[in-house]
Amino acid sequence: MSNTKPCPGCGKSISFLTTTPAYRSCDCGKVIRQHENGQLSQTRERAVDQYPEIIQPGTTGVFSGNEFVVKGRLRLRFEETVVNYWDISFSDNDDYWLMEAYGMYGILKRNDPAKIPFDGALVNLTVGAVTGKGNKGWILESKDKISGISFEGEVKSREYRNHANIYGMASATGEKLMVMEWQNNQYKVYEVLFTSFAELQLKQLREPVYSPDKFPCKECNTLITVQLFPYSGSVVCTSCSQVYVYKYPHGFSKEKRLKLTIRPAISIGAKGELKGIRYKVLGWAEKTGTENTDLRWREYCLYNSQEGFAFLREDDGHWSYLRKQLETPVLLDRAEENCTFNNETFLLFRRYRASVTAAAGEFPGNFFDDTQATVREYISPPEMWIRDENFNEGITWYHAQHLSQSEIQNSFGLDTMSSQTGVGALQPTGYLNRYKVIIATVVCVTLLILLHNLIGGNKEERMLLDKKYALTDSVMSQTFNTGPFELTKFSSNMELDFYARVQNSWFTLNATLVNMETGKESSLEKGVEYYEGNDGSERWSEGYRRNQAYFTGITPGKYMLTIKTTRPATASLNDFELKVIYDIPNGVNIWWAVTLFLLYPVFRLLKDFFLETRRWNNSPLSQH
Amino acid sequence: MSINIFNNNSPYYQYRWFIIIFLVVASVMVFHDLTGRRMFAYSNQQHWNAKGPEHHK
Repeated sequence: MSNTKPCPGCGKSISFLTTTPAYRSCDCGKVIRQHENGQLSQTRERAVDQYPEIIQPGTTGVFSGNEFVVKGRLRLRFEETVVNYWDISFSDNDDYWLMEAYGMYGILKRNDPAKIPFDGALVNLTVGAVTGKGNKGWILESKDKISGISFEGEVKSREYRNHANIYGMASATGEKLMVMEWQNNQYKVYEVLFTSFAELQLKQLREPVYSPDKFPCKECNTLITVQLFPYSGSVVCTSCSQVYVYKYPHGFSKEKRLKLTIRPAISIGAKGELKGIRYKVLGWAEKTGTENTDLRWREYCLYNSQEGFAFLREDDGHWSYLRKQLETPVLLDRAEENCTFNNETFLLFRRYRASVTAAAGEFPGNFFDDTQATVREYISPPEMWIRDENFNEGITWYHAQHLSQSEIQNSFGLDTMSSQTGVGALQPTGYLNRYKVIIATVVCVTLLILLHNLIGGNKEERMLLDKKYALTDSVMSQTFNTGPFELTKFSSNMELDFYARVQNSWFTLNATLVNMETGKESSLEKGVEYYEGNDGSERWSEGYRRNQAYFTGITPGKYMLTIKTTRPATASLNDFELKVIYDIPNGVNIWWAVTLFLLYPVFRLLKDFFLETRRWNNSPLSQH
Repeated sequence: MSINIFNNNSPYYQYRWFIIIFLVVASVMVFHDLTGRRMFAYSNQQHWNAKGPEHHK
């Protein structure tokens, strides 16, 4: 139930949504606090006065099937970043925040302070501190001190203060916690629930209103415009390459001046669509490894009002698309040579420190404070996880996906592209890691066997004949007639399984299957032979006394079978046995099918081996 | 989630050749199994009708 009172700052009416303690921004720019007793007082905090965000008080959304409404936000400024904590209310609980920054979205759900895995005061910990082992381990990924707070709309009451700390922790199982320390050693613990702009189904959004920060370059007097202020924290003069970094509360201050310049493939201001998202290019930069100067690549800073910031990276003509992520792999030990995410293993490809050697335009945070950052790249082409460990920003992860040159060319309308060298780190050579190849092979072979058995299980396997035929000694060739048989399947087969106890001799069976209705005949001939003897003291034998022959593709009808047997005059053979079975499964088919299929995974493994050898030639940490 | 195996964004894209080859091999095997034929079996089965032999091995 809302209540309206005069603002202590300007006297105009200000409405609170509830009668419980809360903060609310007034149009006059002041932030008013409603106390327990309903009294209002003016605070020292300021209202947000820039609205480049599309979320606003009154925005609605959905999370886990439940609807929520946005009441207001805290906009917190840290040393390099600005993060919005939107105060949201579900129907049964309002102790939630929607954390939103740089295209990342996360729901913060209130949790028990006893969940904090670290002992002692969190302020004494450094980024990278680890507690516990194995699946019970936790790592402190971030420790950020608030340098500025501003409000919009109505926000639940806490003892908000500048210089409070917010800690980010991650468990080995991927769980993340955010801990807010508004008062010393008093912690508000939140579980981080990952989500995205699309999943939230946000409605009642507003058009972003950009309030660019403008100032003249101190070197060449060119007017510099920072479009995405306050989210862009660094900018480079396009005329003289002078770098400026935002230092709260003083503004953009001069840093180094870049000496090199390059001609970027994509210009600042260009627009293009990638992965279904419309982006604008805000800046470009060339980076070089500090220890290995052969390592050199270009990055393009992109922005979309819903999805936030992204980067395009071009490395020897190979392109990839990078976005900072909230849901990430967790590495307790940075020395690990691989990381796992969603049951997929990513191998350590490179580690380096890099500096920006050429740039223009604007970038999120302090893009130029990266000489202290150690970067590790883990690949499972066509994807990569980049782990950036920086003293100021903590541990952040970027997810990269390969893009083809044609995708870039079509997105941004480029006429030409630089040629590609070698095999790119993420270049999809159709590579599947061995584990995936084996799993896919096992699944396919299993499916083939199941299919074959399913069809085989429906066969009649009808015994048409099972008889022993006597042979006349003095006659080498004899003929026997059998049937008629009524065969009903649209197409089937017949097995003739015969046994003749030949001894150092042979026996041939010639069978003719006659369709008594159409007169069509099919005939075949098969034989057996068996020989044995002594070679000195060693006994030998060769041949076989039993054999099978098949009629295939038999159409329905009434049939008779004529058997003609032949043997040499010297053969001592009194009889032979014959079984005729209709509609049997063909075991040979599954063997051929599996053999044919297996040719492909064998070819894949060999091909991937040779291609991956070429890819990993570019890595000083080759695990190949 | 796209199930078009030729779409880059589909989770099945990386398995597309496995799927295609499986479908081809399975189709050939199923055809032979259902019709009672034997794959790659060069039998000496001859067919005759009233006009004489119509197929030699």
